[in-house]
Amino acid sequence: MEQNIDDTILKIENLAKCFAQKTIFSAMNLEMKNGEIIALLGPSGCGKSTLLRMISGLETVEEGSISVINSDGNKIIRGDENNVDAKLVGLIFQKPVLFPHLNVAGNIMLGMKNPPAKKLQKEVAEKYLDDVGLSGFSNSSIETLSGGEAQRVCLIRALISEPKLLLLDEPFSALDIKSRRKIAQETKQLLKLKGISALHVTHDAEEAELISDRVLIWQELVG
Amino acid sequence: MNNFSIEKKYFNYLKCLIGASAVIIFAIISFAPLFFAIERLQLVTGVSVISAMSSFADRPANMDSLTFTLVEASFSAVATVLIGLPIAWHLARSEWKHVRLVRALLAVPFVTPSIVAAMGFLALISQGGILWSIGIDLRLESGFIGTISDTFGWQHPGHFIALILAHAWFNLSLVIRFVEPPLATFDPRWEEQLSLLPGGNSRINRLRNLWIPFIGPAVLCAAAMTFLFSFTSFALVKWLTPFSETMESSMANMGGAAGIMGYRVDASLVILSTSAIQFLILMLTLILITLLQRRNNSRVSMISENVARHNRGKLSNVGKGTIFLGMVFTLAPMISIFIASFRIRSSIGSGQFTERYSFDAWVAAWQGDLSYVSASEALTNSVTYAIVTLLISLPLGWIISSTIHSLEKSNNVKLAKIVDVMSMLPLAISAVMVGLGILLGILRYNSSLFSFFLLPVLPHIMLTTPFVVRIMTPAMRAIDPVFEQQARLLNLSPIKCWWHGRLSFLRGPAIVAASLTLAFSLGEFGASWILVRTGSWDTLSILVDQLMSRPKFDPMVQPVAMATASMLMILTFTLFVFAERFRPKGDGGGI
Repeated sequence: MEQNIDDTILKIENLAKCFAQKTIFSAMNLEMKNGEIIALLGPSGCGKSTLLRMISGLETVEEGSISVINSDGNKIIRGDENNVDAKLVGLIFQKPVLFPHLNVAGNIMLGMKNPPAKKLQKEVAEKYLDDVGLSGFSNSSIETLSGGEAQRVCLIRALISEPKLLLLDEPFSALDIKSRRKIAQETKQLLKLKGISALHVTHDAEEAELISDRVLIWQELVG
Repeated sequence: MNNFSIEKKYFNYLKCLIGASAVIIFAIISFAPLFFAIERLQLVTGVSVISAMSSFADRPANMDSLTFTLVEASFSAVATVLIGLPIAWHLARSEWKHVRLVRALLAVPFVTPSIVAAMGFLALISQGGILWSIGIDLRLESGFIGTISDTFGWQHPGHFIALILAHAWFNLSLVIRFVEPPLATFDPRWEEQLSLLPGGNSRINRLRNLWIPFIGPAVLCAAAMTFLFSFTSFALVKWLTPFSETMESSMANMGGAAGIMGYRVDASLVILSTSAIQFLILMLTLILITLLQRRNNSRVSMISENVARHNRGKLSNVGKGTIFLGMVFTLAPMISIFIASFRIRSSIGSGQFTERYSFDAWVAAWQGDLSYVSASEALTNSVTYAIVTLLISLPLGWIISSTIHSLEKSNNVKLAKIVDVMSMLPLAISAVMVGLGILLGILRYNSSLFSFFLLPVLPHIMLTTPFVVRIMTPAMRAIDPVFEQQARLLNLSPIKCWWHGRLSFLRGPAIVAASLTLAFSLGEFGASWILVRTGSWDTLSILVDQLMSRPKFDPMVQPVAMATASMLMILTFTLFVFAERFRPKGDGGGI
């Protein structure tokens, strides 16, 4: 591990990914500053989700490097081992992943490093739910939530785990335009409030503009 | 009203009539003999069922059999889960070839007749068997098994261990059938999401927050079913723990003396009280299983098995080792029977023996040299009973399933549940209880019916119809109604709509149900052991038991019994392989 000397949170150098001898992308370079929100705009199937999975450690890195700065200010270089660190990176999937055996409060508690006692969980969850306009939902069953509500719960859960970097894999793509705009704006506000850096991938230019400080085009990043 | 509507109206009336008749016929077949049996036993003993139950603890032997049954069934359930869970885990969570073949082989024990399983484990633990040859003597309890016995004052630990292992072997496929399909189709995103959250950043957290809620009910359900089957196990207990009695074996042993006016009233009282207590325990277990199965309807999203396997990568070395050991455990008793059927002991004087290998035992079994009926005659009896059972059980089970499904579709959910539970009830009555029920019921009603050749078919119908219902009902629920609707829009007649929209989708499950009905009927032991009182009706499973019960000074006795058991094993194995070809991919098994 090297000591971080600048304000960079993510540095990708000459990254490539192949599946079954087919190159998905190659020679990718990207640098991201602390607290920055970047939207990465690219067509479907170009490898955006794969990139996020590689950054989060769910997918291996065989060529090139990804450096993420951890909570101690040290640089973690993703090697070819799967190295998932919940304290460092959070990921919100395209389709909300909420555990059906738990209610909304139970799902939110999974994001807490030190969850409160059972009887206090509802109260604590309500505080967070209020931030995304879901007051009174803490006891709700996951199955009763709409797509937008479920994705907001995922967002809250990811934010309270206090990651240094949050990765968003087209999380609003299943929502209607109006809801998408609203939730994109809310997400940006929350990220800025908490000072969390985020890399948001999407194929929707308007959504990219709404949520980010800077929009990058996929084709410009790869070789 | 157009012609189609009129036709449909009459077709629906006919369907209702047939459905109601099937449900009533099954209820009569299942419960009338038991009702008559209870009435007979109450008449002979002069006490009611409730009084008999309250006097159960007065007889120490009753309490001994209750304690032993509870202990062996609980140990069997725990052992089955401990052995089955790692196998199910590795079977489900990797991409590898031949997974379907291995899965099918691991499921073979469940359809293996219990008497064959008993012979397999006897061959495994006897002198010359695989376990004996590696220094584990469970039969004579010498060596370290003897040391365990001496140290802890535990009587016959070897026999107990053999019984637990045999029950684990028999029920292994339950754990695999329940746990493996949800694991194999589990969407990896759930695991990935949890690993990125503090609530899932350690193995313990993932176990608590993901695996226990996700597969816990399935594991408990498999354990409860193992408990149920081990509780009512008869052939394995009879042959592997001859020094201890379960409730089932104590009823079977006393059954011959029960129900006769003025004779051995104590035997009738034991049967009445034991069967009532056993019925209560089995009912409670069945209720638990039903509740667990409801919770087991996982709401976590599933994806294609192939995609999930591909995401998880190749099988690890630990996985390979686990599957290999699982296969050895599954195949060892079956191979042992086969080897034992060729191994014949010869005396060389001074109490010394040598062994030779030949086909003599197969020839002797086929010709019936050692028994009243030959294996060929017993095979004819078995096949006849199995075919008659199939001809009644399959249509009966099909119609009951169709009735349940129709009631569910027409929002009569409560009535559908009542019919569903009613069709399951015979599972709460063990094979020996069914046999005794019919025996005593007929004694009460008309004893001349004992000479009716097809009498053993009755318990076979009771025991196999619930399995047909369990296979056909989910298959009917899974049919997309759009096909039947499309057929209607094409103006086809109701019969053609049914043919194209439903029957074509039910062919596979029906073949699976038919093959398993044949296999279960061929291997049925408990009820047949009670009912088959004249040698000329002996089935293969009864013949194996009779042969094995003979004194063993004749060196041909054991090999002939093993050869007969091998024939039964080959027959059920063939049926099972046939059924597996028609089982849908990723299916939990229906049973």
